[in-house]
Amino acid sequence: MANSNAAYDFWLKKKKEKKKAKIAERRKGNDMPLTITSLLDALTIILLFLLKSYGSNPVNISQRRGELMLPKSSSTANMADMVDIHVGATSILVHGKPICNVKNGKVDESVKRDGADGFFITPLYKELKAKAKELKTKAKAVGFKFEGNALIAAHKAVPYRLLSEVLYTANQAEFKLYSFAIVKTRD
Amino acid sequence: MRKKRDTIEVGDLNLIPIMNLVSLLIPFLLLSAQFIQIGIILIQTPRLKSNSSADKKQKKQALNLTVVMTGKGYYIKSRFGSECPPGKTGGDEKLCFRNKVKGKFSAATIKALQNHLWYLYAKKYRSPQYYEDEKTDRHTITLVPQHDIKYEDVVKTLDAMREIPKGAKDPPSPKDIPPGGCQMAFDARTHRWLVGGKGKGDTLEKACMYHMVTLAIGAT
Repeated sequence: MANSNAAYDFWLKKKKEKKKAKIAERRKGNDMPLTITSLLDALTIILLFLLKSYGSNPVNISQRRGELMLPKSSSTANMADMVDIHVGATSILVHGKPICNVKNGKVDESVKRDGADGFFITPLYKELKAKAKELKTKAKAVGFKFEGNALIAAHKAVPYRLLSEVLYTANQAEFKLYSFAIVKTRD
Repeated sequence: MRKKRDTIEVGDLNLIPIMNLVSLLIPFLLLSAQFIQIGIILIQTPRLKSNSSADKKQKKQALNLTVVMTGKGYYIKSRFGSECPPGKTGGDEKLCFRNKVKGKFSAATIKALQNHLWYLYAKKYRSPQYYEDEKTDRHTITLVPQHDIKYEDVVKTLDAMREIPKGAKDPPSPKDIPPGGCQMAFDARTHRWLVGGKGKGDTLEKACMYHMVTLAIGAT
């Protein structure tokens, strides 16, 4: 009798040890490494979206408070690929290249061919004329007629006089059709 | 004898370089991304040299509808003279719609201008007798802003000229104005601007009023 009790106790002890060992092994298995697959999925989708929106407009216009803030408009027309002229609060740029400075909504008279009251901005004309020549060559090669399209992105507080001067100069450089860049208020 | 099997150990895929690249690109693109949509308004400038006899003949017959924009307000004229609403002859100051505050174009003033332009477009000068080419001339207008007018106000005026107003009474506005308004699109194949755009239906008659605006240069 005493023997059977001891055997039973031994068997019970062994069973408990086995159970403990199993639990310990299961716990080891539960320490799984951090899975970053789903995080990488999300980041890849965000990256693709940003790449798509980065390249969706043919002309990149970066607005900057105090320098170039486009006015809002109900127009829904989209941009096309054309020569862009930025008329900011402090400078005029063509295709990102600075042309001349602007101060208090005016261009310095030294860069104007006809003085303070003139409309012809000499450095702007030279740059646009060169662009027109380049575009005419490209259009001829492709078989199109050069239409003289220009995109004007002007700061909303710029006076119309400055815009007139830019339009007059661009007109002289054979650009006849203009698109004013605006911020859409509807799709 | 047991044959040894050649086993190729494949390590875990190292995602750290990809994560590096993604983490660097995303902030850069976020900074340069534009979450506002940029569009355009199409305008043209007057022909600076026009000596042909054909052009002179056309000028005689053209309606020449013109909106003069000064700090005090708007004045509308055509080849027939003042086009102010009845009761407002323009007077010495030549104003059809006056700004309450000089230099500030309120929404009410712009709306009044838009409604009156709609009256001229859809009622007074509806007949083809006023136009050589009704399809283009009827939608053509000239805007003459004074030199100190802000560009923002010029854009608001261009919007008012382009779109048929909603809720107008004389004559009543069309009921089926498309929600996108007067739409224009650039045809990359012909390198021309088209009204209505591809697949968007004919918005020319339903939503467009004066969408061919000639901006005067060097006036006033």
